[in-house]
Amino acid sequence: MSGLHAQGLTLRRGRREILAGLDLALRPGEVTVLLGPNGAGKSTLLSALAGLLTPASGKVLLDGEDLSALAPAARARRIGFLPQTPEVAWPLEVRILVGLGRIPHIGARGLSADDARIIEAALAEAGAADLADRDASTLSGGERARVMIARVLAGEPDWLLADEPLAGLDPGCQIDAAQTLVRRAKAGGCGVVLTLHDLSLAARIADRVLVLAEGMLLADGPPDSALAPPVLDRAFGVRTALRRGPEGLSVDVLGR
Amino acid sequence: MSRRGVVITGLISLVAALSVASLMVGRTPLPLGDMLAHPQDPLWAILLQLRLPRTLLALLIGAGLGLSGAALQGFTRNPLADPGVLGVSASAALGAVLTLWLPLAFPLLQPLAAMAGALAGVGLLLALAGGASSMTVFLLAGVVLNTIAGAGVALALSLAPTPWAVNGIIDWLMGSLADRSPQDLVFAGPFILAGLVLLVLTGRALDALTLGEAGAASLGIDLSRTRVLLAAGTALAVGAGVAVAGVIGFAGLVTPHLLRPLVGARPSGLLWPSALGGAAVVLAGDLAVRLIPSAAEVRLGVAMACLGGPFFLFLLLSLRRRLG
Repeated sequence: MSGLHAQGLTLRRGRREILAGLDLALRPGEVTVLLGPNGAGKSTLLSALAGLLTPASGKVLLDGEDLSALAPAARARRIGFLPQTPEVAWPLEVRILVGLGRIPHIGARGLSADDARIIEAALAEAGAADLADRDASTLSGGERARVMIARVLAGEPDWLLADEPLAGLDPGCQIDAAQTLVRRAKAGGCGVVLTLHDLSLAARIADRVLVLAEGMLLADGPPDSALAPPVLDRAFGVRTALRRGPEGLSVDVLGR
Repeated sequence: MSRRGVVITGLISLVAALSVASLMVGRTPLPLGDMLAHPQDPLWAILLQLRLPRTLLALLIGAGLGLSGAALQGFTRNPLADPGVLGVSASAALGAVLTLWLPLAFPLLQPLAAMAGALAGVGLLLALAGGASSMTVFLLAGVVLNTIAGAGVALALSLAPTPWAVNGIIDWLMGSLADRSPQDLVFAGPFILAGLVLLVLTGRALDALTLGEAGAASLGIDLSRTRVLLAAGTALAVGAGVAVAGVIGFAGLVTPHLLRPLVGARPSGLLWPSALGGAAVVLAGDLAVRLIPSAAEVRLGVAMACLGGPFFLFLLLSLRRRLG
């Protein structure tokens, strides 16, 4: 049973139940986009899929193995996670910051020549090679997003879970960052799961869209079915039009 | 050699030089040449019974303060964290002071009580700041802890059973290394060393925490293990130090801050240099109080506070400029 599976997953934040009895099967090599209104529990679900949150009931299985039974370092070698608005607490050199992604692999030893090579490759893959010597605390939003993606790529995960990695980026930066993630899925066979707020971006990059609202999955499928106007109306309370142009799908938000 | 290597070599040389100076400097001059010719010279007693324990205690206590300061800053991701600011030293002092009321006495009582006080302090700090561990919450928890422990010590002072007890309490409040005995070294030394080892083990986790708690957890870091190591290490290193030398502030705050521009900001890379730097700061401070020409020796804790206060102010101003 390969893939990342949720079985009867029930999640709580404090006393509030956010999701009840969710079943989900995610496949490697796909880009899955998780959509939903603010507070629907996208971040909570993503944390649980990354093994960072203990479910109230049910379980998350990684290739058939219960995540909560996996050693944290073993889990971290296979699932990379990018938190929302990632923090950089100290003015570290970008190369050192990206090197933190190797922590699950190196244990107590220092970085080897192999690790150094992987770090440089991750920097290049995320389009951040030119930033390697910069102080990470002085980066712009777009630069920081690239560096953070490089950090998670450096961990060479089988699964890459990112919580709003494209939020607050200008359109150019959004496309660059999205392409990096899509490439990892298509060429690297990595399972990529993202939460997004931009419906058109979701339509363009997703192989599969999950719409989360009212404590359940309203839709689960390819973008052209999961982004259908009735679904989005129910999830967000907005009128939309799904358009198919020469560049692919896009979603126009027409109003309330 | 890497830049960090150069800095560490420099710090080791500095600590060695300050240690030699600390052995030689004091009210009684020690003519080492004459003493070597006369192994029976009573001056040897001053060197071995007074100056040596004083020097080694300064070295160990300084290392404990520097390292715990660096580890606390790394854990809280807050450049203003330090055992003094966060109230751990005050809690240790309260623990030591409370032994004056205990109907029992044995040699290790005070170090144990001070370490228990420090552990209670760190424990309360981590519990108060909780999983949120925002910069503000941590500092406020430190304010709470300092207030409680300070009130406890002040109460103890006003209710002190004997004048001798008053002197003892003031000793813990104002920190000093004067007239420490080899026994003090034997009591505190092993605990401080154990604390240093525990604190160094947090290095990798502190690096990962640069990315925040969620980031660190996603890298496979066991944060509850990190909390235990940090609490136990700080309690041992700071508590044992306070038991024999009282509260010596600011070494833990100043040292990592001065070293960050030299060795880089990576928290694990800052740990050993901060231990060396803390040792150098406390050794230098203790030398200074011996060299200041005053009728009575200025207490080390007071001298450090006089230097540390303005530094804290400077730090806050530069931080405000950067944040705002």
